[in-house]
Amino acid sequence: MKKILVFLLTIIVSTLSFAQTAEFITEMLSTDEATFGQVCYLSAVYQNLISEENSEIDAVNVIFEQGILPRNVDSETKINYKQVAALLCRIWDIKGGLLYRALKNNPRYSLKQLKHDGVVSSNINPRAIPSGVDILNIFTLGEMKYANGAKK
Amino acid sequence: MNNRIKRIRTMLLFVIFIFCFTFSAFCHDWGSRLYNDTQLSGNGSLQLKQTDSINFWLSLILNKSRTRSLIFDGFYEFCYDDTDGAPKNIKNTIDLRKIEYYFAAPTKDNDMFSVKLGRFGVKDLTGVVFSQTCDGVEMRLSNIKLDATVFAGYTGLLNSNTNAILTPINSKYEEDKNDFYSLSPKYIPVGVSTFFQNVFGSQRLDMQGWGFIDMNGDEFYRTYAMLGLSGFLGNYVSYGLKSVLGIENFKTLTNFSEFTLNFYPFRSFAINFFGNYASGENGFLSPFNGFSSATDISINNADIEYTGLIKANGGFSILFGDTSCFKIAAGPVFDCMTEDITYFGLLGKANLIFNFYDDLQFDISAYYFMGQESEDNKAIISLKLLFTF
Repeated sequence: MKKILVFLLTIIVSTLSFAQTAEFITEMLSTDEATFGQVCYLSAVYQNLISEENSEIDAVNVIFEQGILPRNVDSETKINYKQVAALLCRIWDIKGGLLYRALKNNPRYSLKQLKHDGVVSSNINPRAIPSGVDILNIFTLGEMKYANGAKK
Repeated sequence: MNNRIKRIRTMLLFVIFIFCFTFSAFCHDWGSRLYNDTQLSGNGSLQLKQTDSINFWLSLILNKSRTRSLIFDGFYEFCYDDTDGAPKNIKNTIDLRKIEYYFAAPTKDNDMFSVKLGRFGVKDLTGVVFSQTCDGVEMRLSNIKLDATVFAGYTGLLNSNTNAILTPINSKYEEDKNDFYSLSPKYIPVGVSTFFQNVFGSQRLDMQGWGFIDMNGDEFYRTYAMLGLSGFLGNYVSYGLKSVLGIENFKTLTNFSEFTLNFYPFRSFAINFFGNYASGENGFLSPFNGFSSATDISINNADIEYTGLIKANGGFSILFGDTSCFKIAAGPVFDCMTEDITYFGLLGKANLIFNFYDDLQFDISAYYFMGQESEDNKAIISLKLLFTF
């Protein structure tokens, strides 16, 4: 029941946030293993770094220029939970732990922070590849948790 | 004996070295914890006890559905103890707190069957009888109505510096306190526990049975039956009742009982009442003894176990947002070791926990026991700092 509610909420919130990107949401829902392109797009659009009409490649380039992407990744490279956390945490203004603040954008401490706040399940393998639905779930729970502190 | 301990110590150091420098490359997650506890205690003049420890854990998730995992957790502790009665001033301890293989399998009707194998923490219903690390196997079946667990283990390979077990006077067990790792007395603990989540409305009913088979040659057998009921009464009151019936060597009968009552008149504020009874020579009952060593009250030059004491206290607790919590409680303590129940003293405690950050916690607490005899008076001021990374 809880999963269904989260799933429905994911669709509603995501649809409201990106009314013009229904295609992107549809693609995410059918993705078994998420890519850097998808997560960068979500993060970059939400931070107003690119417009919704831009591509996932544009999103990767914009985020890469900020110096937080590993080398040798492109929009089709599979992304793991640690890397997702580092990209999504930029969306919200999270107070966080001492090491999270000191090592801003560090994938390990970004994921630890999301685990601590209940946005990501505590027994998630940091190196596992999340599905598109997993990414939307993290995004929705993060929105609910950090809504007041969102940078937007 | 000494050679054996040296071999175990060398093996432990080797295993920890392997975990830290080789295995971590393959692990899925790891973490560490730094802990400092600085304590001043005494009657009149205060004496220092300081504990510093570093812990390191590794976690391996063995399949995609996260139903099989391996967890390792070890620590090193340095302790400087200048209090009266301390066997030595400086103590170094190294131990593996957890080497756990976990396996879970969903069964029909959304039931969950899980197995823990190796070394992990075990705690009984009260936390007074059996609360420590133990080597063994635990099997658990849980569903929406019922949760049942069976445990069987062995204590002989544990480090007695970190897992103190109560043994009879004149026990054949010989403890070596002069080492990092000292083998514990040999017992086979066996336990069965179950709880029902929604009985009598939304109340929780706990039932447990524990037995400890002596392997030291002392012929000292302990068994315990436990019953607990807890839950909410309306929106503002929660309660907990627990009682333990103990049998030693199938001859003597003992009892430990505990109640808690909490009122929540406002958000983030609670009024707490607590009481416990550990039997002494009271009627048909004999002095209660648990299995793991646990301190009920601390008096000057002694920590008294849960035996022959009645304690009652009341207080309140306040939460300040998500970051801090303040608790204060006080109440009388009575000695019931013999048939005559006598006033033993007044106990007061206060505690402030403050989370500077999510990973940095500060804890300051004050404790005072004002005994009927002034020589029993004891004050403790404690500062704790915990940093996880």
